[in-house]
Amino acid sequence: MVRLVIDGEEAEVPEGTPVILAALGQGVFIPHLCYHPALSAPASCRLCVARVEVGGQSQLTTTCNRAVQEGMVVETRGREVREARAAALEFILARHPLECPVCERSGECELQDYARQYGRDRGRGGPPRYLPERQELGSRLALDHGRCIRCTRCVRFVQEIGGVASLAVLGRGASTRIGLAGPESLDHPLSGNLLDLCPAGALVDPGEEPGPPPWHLRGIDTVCPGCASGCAARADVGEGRLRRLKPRYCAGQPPWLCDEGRFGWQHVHHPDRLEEPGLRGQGGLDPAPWPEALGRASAIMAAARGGSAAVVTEGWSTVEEVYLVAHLARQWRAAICLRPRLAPEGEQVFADGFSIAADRSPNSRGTAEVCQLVGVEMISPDVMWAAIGGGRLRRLFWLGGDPARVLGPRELTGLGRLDALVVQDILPSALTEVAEVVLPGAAFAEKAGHFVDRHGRAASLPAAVSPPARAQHDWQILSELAAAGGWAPEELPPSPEAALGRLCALPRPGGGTPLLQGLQPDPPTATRAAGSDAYGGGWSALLQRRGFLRVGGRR
Amino acid sequence: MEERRLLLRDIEIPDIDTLPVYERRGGYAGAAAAFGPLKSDEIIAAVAAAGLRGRGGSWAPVADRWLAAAGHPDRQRFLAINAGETDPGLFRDRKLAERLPHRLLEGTIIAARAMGAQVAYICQRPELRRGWQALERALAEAYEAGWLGRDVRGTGVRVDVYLHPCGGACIGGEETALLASLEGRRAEPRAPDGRPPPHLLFGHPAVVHNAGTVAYLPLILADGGAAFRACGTELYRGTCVFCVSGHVRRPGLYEVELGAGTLRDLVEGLAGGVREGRHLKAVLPGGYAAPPLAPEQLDVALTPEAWALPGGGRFPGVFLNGGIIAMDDTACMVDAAVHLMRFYAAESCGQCPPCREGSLWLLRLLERLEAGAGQPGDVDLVADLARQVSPYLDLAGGTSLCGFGTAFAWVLQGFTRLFREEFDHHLQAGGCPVPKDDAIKVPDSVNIRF
Repeated sequence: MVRLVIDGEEAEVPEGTPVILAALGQGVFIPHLCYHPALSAPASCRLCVARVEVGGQSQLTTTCNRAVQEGMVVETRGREVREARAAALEFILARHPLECPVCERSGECELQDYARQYGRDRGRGGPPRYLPERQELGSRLALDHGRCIRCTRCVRFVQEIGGVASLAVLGRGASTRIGLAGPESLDHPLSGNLLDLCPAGALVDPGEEPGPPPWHLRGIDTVCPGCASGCAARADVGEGRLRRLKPRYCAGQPPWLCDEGRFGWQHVHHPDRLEEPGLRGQGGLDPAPWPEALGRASAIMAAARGGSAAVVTEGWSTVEEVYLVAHLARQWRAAICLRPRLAPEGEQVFADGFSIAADRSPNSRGTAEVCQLVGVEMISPDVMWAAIGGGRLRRLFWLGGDPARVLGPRELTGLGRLDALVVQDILPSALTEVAEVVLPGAAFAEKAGHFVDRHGRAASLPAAVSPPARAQHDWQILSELAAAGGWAPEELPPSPEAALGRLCALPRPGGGTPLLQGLQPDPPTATRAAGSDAYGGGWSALLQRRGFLRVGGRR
Repeated sequence: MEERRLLLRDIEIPDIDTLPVYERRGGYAGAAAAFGPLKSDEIIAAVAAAGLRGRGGSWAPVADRWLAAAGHPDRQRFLAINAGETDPGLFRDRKLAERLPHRLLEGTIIAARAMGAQVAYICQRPELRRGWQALERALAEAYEAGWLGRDVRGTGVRVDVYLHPCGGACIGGEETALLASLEGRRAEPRAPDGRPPPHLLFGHPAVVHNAGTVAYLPLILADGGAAFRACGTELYRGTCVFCVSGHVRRPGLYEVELGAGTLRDLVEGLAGGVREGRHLKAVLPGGYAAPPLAPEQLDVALTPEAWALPGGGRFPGVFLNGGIIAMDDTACMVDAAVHLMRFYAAESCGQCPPCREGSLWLLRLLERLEAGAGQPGDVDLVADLARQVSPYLDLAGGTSLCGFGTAFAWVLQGFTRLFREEFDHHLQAGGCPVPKDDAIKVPDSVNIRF
C-alpha cells in the first residue's frame, strides 16, 4: 500500500493505482477526456492536470498516467489547476463546432459538462471551426469528424479490448483525424460501446430512433437478456417506451454490452407483439377472452396421459415464473425441457475477459436450478424431440420469450406430430402458426423478477415498461393456469416476491454447487428500479451517478 | 576566440569519409581500445573521467546513462543514435554524416560496447541523400573490416548497426517518439509518467544518444580523454559545435571550447557579424526552440551554467541545440514569428490540443497581424495563449504534453516581450512597417565552407 496526500487528506491505496483513481476514491474528482479506467492512458487531453509534488520535485502534470508514490502530495484545488483546466478545454474546443443545441449527445456529453463546469464562459476566437463531416464506420456507428476531439478512446478500445486494429489515427498535427485503418468498415461485436466511450458527440448511432432527449429518460437498473453472461445494464425509458439499453458499471464486470444485446431489444415495442389470446379455429387463430383461453390451455395439458406432456422453456422466464412452471409441470405430470438458443459461433471472449456466452438466453442456469430445487424431471431437447418423433410425447406447453428463436427442421416436423401445442409467447412465429392456444405474455423489460446468469449471479429485473394492453404478465398467466390445474388458492404464492421467499427457503441438497446462492428474499434497494437520470453508459453513467457529471444541466 | 576542432577534426581532408583515409588519420584507434585491452566498465570510467555530456540538449553525463543501462538485469539492450536533425538552424549532424561518417560509426560502436547493446540503430533522414549514402558506405566498410558483426575483432562481442530511415518529422527526434518510430508506431512522444529511466525499445532497455555526442568517443578512447579534458570548464568539459546561420557574413559550423568566449564572440567574431550597412536586431540562440535575444544580450559565456534556468532545469539558449540564427534590421519580428509558427503547426505531432490547436491558432493570429488584419487584443492573446501552453521559463507549469509546445510557447512569449512595440505597431499601422530584404537567400549548408 502507498500513502499519499490528496487535497490535504491522507489516503492509502494499492501500489500501481493511477493518481486520478486514487483521487476518485477519496471523492476528489479530476475531469478527464482521453483517460478511461479500462484503457491505456495517453495523457494527451491534458485536462487531468494537477499540482503533484514527489521526491522534492513539484510539477503541474497529468494524473491519469502516473501511479501513486509514497509521500506524494497532490493538489487539485486552487487557481493554477483551475486555469490549467480552462486552458486545456479552450484548446480542445478551439475548432469544435458549436452544435450543442442540435447534437445527439447534448445532455449526456462529457465535453459539454466539463466545458460548463471548468471551461471559460466565452470564446476568444480561434481558427475556423470544423465543418460537419460524417463517415459511416459500421451499420450502427458513424463518426462526425468535426466533433471529434481526437482523444483516441475509440481507437484504443477497438485495439485493446476488441483485439483488432480497425480504427487508427490518421494524418498528423492539425490534420489529425480518426478513421478506418483499412478498406473494411468496422464490423465488431463490441462496436456499440464506442457510443458510450466517446466523450463528445462524434460517435453516433445513425440507426437510433428519434425520441426524447436523455434528460427526459428514466434510467432503470436491469440486466441484458441477450445471453447467459448477465451483463449489468440500464434500461432507458421515455414516454412509456424502452428507448435504449446501456451498460451499467458493476463491480467485477467489464462495463460493456455486446451489440446484439445493446441493439437487440426492438422486439419489446414491435407492432407485431401478440396482444390477444387466440384459439385455433377453422380459418386460423380466433381471438378469445382470457378466461376461455386459459381454460382451454389448462384442459389440454391436464388431459394428457401421464408422461405424454412436456413443458418447453427457452430460458427467458424469471426464476419466480419457473417456480410456478415447475409446479404446473408436476400437475400435468410433464417433464421440463430447457431449450435455449445456442449461437453457432460459440462463446466469444475478449482481451479483458468480457465474453458473449454461446447460450443466448438470460436464465438457463436459474431455470435449471429452480427445477432441481423444486424436484422436477428435466429432459434435454434431443430426448424431447426424439420422444415426439416416436409418438411418446403428444402435448407441449411452450414457454417462449426469445425474440430471435429459430426452429430447426427436426423441430418443425416434431411440432407437426403433436396432438396439441399451447404457446405462451410475445411475437408471432412458426409456433403460433400451429398452436392450439396462444397466450400473449410479457417481454423481459416488462417483467419483475430475477434471472441467474451462467456465473450464478442473480440479477433483479424491475418492470421498466408495461406489456401491450391486453397481454398479461407471465406471472399472472402461470398463476391462473396453476389455479385452474388444482393448486389451492391459499397455497398458491400470491406474488413473485412470495415465490422467491419460498424458493430461498427450500432445503438445498448437500454437496455440489450451491443453488440460487445469489438470491435473497428481499433484494437490496440499490437493485430496485432507481429512477435515475439516463446519462451515457458505462463509465460516464457511473460518474453521473456519483454526481460528477450532470444530465442536461440538472444536478 | 578561436575554433578548436575535436569533433570536426579532419573534416576538410579529402576522402575522410572512406575507411582507409580515416584509419590513416588515427581512426578506429578508439574502437581498438574498446575492443582490446578495455572492458566495458573501464570504458565507462574513462568516459566519466573525461566528463563527456550529452550534446543533444540534455547535457547529462553520458557515463551515468550507460551505468544505468549496464546495471539493468535485462541483458538485451539497444542503442539508438539520433542523427535525423530536423530543427531549423541546425546542420551539424548532417555534416557529420556526410563528411565524417566513420567517426559517427566508431562512436556508435564504442557506445554500444560500453553499455552492452548488441544492436544499435542510427536514425537518419533518407532524404538527406549525401549523408545517408555516406553512412551506408561506411557501414559496409566497417562490417568488412570486422568492426561490426557477431564477433567484433574476435572478442565474441556482437555489435550490429542498422541505418533506420526516420520519417523526417521534427518531433521524431524526441527520445520517446524516436523509440516509438523504431517500433513502427506513430512518432509521438510519450507523456512523462514519473517512471524512472531507462526507456524501453521492444521491451528492452534502450539509450538514445545524439549523433554529436557519440562522435566524441573515438577521440576520448584513443587518447584516454586527455585532449577532451584539456578543453572546457570544470563542470562542462570539451568543445561544442555551433551552427551559425542567418544574416551573418560567414555562416557555418564553428567548434569552440566550452567557456572560451561569449555568444557575441561567436556571432560577431568568428561568423563575421552582420552585412555591411546593416545592424543586428535579434539572435535566436537555439534554432526555433529558444526565446530570442536582443543585441545587448549576447555577452553571455558559451558554457551551459551561464544559461541555466533560474529554477533549475534545461538550458535554454545556445545549449539547447547549438543552432544560432542572426537577424538584422531587414527582418520583421512578426514575420519571423509567422515563419516559426508555420514550422510548429506543420510539425506538431497532433496528440495534445495545446500544441495541435494552439500552434494553428497562434499561426493564424500572427498571419493576420503581419497581413495588417490584426484585431485589438491580438498581441495580448498571442502572449496569453502561449502562456497557457507553457508559462515563460517555467518548466513546472503549462499544459503541453512535451517540450515541443514549450518551445514555441517560450519563443513567442520571448518575441512579444522583447519586440512588443513592433507587434503593436503592426496593429496600429495596419500592416508590416519593416522593409524586408527579399534579395537575401537562406544559405544552403552545401555552400558553407566545407
